[in-house]
Amino acid sequence: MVGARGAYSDWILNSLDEENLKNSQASFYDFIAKYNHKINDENEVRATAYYSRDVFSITSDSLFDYSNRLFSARWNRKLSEESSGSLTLNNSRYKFNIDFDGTANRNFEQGFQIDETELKAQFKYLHNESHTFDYGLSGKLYTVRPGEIAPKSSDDIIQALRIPEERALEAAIFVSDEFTLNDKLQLDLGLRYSFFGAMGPSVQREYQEGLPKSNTTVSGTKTFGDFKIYETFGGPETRISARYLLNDSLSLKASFNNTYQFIHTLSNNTTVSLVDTWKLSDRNIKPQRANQLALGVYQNVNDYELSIEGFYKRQNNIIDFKTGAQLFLNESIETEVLQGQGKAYGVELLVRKNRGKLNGWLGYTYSRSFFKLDSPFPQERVNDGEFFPSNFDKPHDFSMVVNYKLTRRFSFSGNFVYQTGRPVTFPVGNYEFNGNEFVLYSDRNQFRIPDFYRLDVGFNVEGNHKIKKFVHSFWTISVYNVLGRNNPYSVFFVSQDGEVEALQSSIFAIPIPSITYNFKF
Amino acid sequence: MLSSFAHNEKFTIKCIGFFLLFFNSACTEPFQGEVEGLEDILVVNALITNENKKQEVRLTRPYRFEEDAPIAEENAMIRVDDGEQQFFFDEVEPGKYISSVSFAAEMGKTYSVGITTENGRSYRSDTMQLPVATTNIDELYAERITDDSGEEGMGIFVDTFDASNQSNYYRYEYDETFKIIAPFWSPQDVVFVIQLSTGPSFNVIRREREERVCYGTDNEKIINVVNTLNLGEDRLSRFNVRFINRDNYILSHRYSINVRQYVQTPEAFAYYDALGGLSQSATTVFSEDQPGFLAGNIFALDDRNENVAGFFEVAAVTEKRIFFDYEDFFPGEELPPYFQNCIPAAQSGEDLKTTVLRETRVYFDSNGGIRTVPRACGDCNALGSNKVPDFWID
Repeated sequence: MVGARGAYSDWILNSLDEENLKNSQASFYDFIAKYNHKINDENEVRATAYYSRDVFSITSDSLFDYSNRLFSARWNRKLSEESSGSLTLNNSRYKFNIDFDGTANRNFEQGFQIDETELKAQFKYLHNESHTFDYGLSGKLYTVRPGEIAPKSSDDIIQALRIPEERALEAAIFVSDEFTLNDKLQLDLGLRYSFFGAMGPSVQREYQEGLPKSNTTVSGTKTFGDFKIYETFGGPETRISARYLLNDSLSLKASFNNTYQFIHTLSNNTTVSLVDTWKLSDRNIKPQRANQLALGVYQNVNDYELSIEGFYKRQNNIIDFKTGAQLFLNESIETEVLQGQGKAYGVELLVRKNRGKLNGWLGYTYSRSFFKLDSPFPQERVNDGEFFPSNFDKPHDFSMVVNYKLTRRFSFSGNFVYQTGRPVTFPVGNYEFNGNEFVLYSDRNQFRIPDFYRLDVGFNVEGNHKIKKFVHSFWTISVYNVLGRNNPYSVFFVSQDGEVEALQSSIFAIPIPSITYNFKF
Repeated sequence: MLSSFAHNEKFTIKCIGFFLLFFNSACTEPFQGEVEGLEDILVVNALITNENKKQEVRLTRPYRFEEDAPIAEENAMIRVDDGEQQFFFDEVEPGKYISSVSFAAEMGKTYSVGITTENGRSYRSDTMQLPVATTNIDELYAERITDDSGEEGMGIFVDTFDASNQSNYYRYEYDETFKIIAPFWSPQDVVFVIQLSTGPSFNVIRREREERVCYGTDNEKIINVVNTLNLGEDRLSRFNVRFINRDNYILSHRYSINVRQYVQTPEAFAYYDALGGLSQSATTVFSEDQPGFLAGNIFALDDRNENVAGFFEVAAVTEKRIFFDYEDFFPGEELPPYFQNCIPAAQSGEDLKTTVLRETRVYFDSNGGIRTVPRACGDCNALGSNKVPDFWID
């Protein structure tokens, strides 16, 4: 199977009269290919390749270019009546590039890339009616190019810089048992031992004991050669979940799990671009750990599925940043990040109707997420070392999808989303220190960006339903963001000549009507 | 706009034709929400040095973006404790407090500041020590250079070295003074005499005050900190404290810079470093400093959650001054462009009267009627002071 999609709006943007849109661009395309081959009754091979690329500009002088590439090959083999196995090789690469072409002699290209290759052997063994075992091994190699910047031409005075590549190996051995005790109770028990080895070549800094990590407290460096594992982390991860059927339509689910996370997202939420990069654990950055408890009740009433789930989560070594931290193109991220505790909890309600003329679902989640960054040193303390709302703290999240079939050929659809705006740190005023004017910022994440809401509606017209028709087609007439809500996805500040200006970025701040014609043959 | 793939086992090609009737691309615009919540926090600016003098502490409050000056914190009680003795401070002007006696920070003593504000709240700093007994600028010099951005101008450099390897954390400040010669100065001036029925009447008289040669001053507004930790020794060579583009009019005649070198504690260095990064980072939309309230080393005693901005610093200081002439480095070359464009223009009647009364322009000559130039072109007092500074050497 081969598929491709594309959205290219450069020609529309260029044909518009508005000057500041003329030089904008936005295009997206992706491509997928799948291949399955059944060799015989015992052996089967599956392969998938995917590629996507997204190019757009937010400001007229910058061009953002994201791409994703995935490849996966899998060999399934039936070993006996009771057991089967599979061997999977996966590779994925994500990268972004920012091309800045604005000012006279300060143009540059900067980029980031992460590459993962995983080999996994997994076996399934049906021991008897009540036990199904899953077990296996996996190994994954990470390669991260944390960032580079290069001048666009010889006239540009930007200094070329490339942060050295990071490499690591993650390995795991795992076993799980789907244990059916009786008609009513089913347990899912999983145990996994995860191992992470940070791998050379690398130059790792050492810092003076008992002092904050900073460029001024470096006590030495250690150099490690190619593929040398210089730091290891690891431990058992457990997963226990139980499902109990109270009756035919009512069930309970409870679960506990603990996890390790060796790779960290460094989310830049203070600029227009919202660029995420990743950092591997090393001698100075520890893996994150989390424990989560969840409980749910599920009920079916006629055509409706109702569920309510709650969770509570505690985290250790979560990553956040020192005040004043600069992340991108920083060779010593550990001097800018802080690791601390996290806690999150929430409850989720879901009502779903799958059948009938009117169908769809409605979901509401109330959840909170807090971080705590405390230290004896003021520069490593955030909000007095107490819990504060994390960047992910969006308490209310409501979404609704409704489809209404008028006839077999005509249908309406509607989609509504509401979300609390995420927390943000605002400049609130100025103060004078040492004869200079400085910006006074609020506590970390003391404010929020405006709430997000959006309503989309659509009307579908399908072609007639002749069975042997060569082309099956349908039309969709839709309006995206009917309410014309200007939803900023980022609020950030630019200081220019001592003045701080608050800016917001948003996409599609007005209703966007569109007509889509789909056909299959 | 985009639909998902068909989950079809057969060989399927799915094409989407689409067009947008109207398109508004992603955009960046001024934030439309409200930013409220200026906290009325105390800002402490306290620096005790190894100079024997009346030491100074300034207390202010933050102010809104649309305001342009801080609010002085008046009537506070301030004392600095060195472990044995207390030094009390008197308010000499709103928000400015100086110690009632002179003293110098000494090695081995632990200093802290205690503050009680008029509203009865109390604050105390962490204890700080003088990092080194003295510090020294070995050399302060000026060179004609081309900087990293390819701009030509004058670089001001510092050399310093501490053989005992104790200084390590340096901070620089400077103030500069430069001679201004008004290029369109005239010994005469025009004054408005009386309004007649035919229009205003003027007189051309001799100028009474010095308006040709003045001295301008500027104080630096940049945090300039540097450390020598990753270097082989505690030495700074050719450390660039200031760059002046050759097109800057302040270089035109004679220029002087006074550089102050502070040796800081690691804590003070970290504070200044973070403060500088937070406020003076790149000004593009790619700037990505994590913003937030930056806490110093002063805390509220009554409520640990009350934020206090600023720092109590104990530092060793030294200063050095140099002078140079434009001719020393740019002999025979054209002077930098003056502060503003000076084009004489003929003026008369009400127009001239307005100009004279508002002091926006000054007399230049009477070449076919009275001609005036913008004030800065003919009267240097617009840009500086006509008093020769005490330290000035010609």
